[in-house]
Amino acid sequence: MRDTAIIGVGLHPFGKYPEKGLRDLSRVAIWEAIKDAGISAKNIQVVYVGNALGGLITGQEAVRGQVILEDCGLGGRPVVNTENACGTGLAAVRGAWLEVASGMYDVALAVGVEKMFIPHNTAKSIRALATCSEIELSRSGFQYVTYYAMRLRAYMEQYGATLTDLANVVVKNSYNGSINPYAHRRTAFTAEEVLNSRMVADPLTLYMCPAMADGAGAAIICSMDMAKKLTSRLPVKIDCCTFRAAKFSPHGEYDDPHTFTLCAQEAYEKAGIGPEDLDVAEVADAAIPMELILYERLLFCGKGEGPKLIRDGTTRIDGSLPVNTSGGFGIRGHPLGATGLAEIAEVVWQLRGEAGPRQVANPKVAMVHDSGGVVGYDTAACYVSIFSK
Amino acid sequence: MANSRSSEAECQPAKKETRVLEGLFHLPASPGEQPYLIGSKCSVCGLVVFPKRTFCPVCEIDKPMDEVPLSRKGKLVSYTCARVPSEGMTAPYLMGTIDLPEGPRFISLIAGEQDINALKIGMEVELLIDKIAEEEGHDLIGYKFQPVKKGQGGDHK
Ligand SMILES: [Zn+2]
Repeated sequence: MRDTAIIGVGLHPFGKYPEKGLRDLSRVAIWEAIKDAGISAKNIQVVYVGNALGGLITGQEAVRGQVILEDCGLGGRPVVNTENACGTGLAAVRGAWLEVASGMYDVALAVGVEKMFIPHNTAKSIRALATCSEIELSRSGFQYVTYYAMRLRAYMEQYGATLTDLANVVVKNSYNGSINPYAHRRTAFTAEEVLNSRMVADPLTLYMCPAMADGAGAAIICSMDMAKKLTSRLPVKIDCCTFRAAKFSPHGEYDDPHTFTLCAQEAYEKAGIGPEDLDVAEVADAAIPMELILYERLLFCGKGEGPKLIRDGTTRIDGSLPVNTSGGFGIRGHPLGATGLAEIAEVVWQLRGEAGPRQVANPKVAMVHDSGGVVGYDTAACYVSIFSK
Repeated sequence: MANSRSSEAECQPAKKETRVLEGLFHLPASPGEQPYLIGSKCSVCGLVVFPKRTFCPVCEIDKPMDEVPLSRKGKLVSYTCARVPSEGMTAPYLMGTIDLPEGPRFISLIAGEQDINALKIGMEVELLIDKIAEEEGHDLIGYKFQPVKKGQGGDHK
């Protein structure tokens, strides 16, 4: 495997765009990424396109990538369509990374796009999301917010995390989102506002859960050697991209070591670092307070210490390990295929020093964690990537 | 539970087709029988899983697991109330995470209580077969769990 880097990123702002289709969202992100990299589109040799629910939501069941790229003027290349639930974006990035790292190609484009918002039919969006599981479950009223609500209730009971701890994760992330022009939710909430918003799945309130958002993202991945020839942009090195589905354990989601931990350990090892070396991280807070549990699973702290990192400000933009400076899944928005690309865009901006009001002080190493789906009461796909400059 | 359901169905003939979530549970064939969930047991390591699987996820060998009936009673590990419905559901509805004594942990709809405050982590719950959702205009029959009422626990097995 040879050294690879991200040389350009682009996003379509996340939010509700009922008038826009997959093509409309994607073309903005793709051309933003090409411009950001400062390369010619003709340099792109292979494309990975991630989209999870386009078939159910828009009716475009197959060849989504080709449809998008044809509109963008980027046909005539190998196109790989990827899907892995909420991890779909990282699935596209990992594929593009492998193409370049293996030496097959020098320049790859990874795209992630999703339409989630259906006017006046949230139930259809919820059901579409629930199909990121076994079909018997999605037919039985299962929905992701209930899954996280139950996990967090058990966590509160086990470790004494409070409702205020849960709310304060939202306070942090909504502040970050309020200063991110690409975020779906742009309001900084107080803990009181979070707790007083209407109940969605006890103990989770509306502001603790992601709203249905549309969006797209893109990244240009390039061999380190070619990066120096093609662009003057600072190449952000991809140190690793680990990936796995959960291995069976009797209590799945509740058992240790969790799949996220195994994936993170592998990532730390491959990158030759430890969690203490991270300067910034984007993690998959599919219900915002799940961040508390993710801190532990990704080894930012010990078991039961998640709330401490929120209480002492460790994970704020000005803390020692800022987490979800973009606002995270729940605030920036979580259009499945696009999410991973937005996480990557955020850490690229952070490492380049281009994150504006969200800029973390001189970061050198970043983590992106993305995960999704439920199979056998555990995660269907977990990705952990490390980036550095 | 199952009896009242079948007589209800007889009162409204052919109004709508009833669908059943296949492969997850045994529906009683006669009035004296109890429903049960169908799990799989590995003949090598003894692991029991629900929903059923063809091969053991621990052993990873080419030896199919055996179908086994699972206990009708389990323990509530966690719970919530869905206030926004998924398609085919009517909110609010209660959901729980269930542990069965044989080992499986899984998610189920919760019946028998409307009030989330009546639920407690660790409480005993038991299986019932009931309508769980509307699917394309048809009733979908599946499994739920409900809190075991004091004094009603000993009426079966
Ligand atoms: Zn076995």
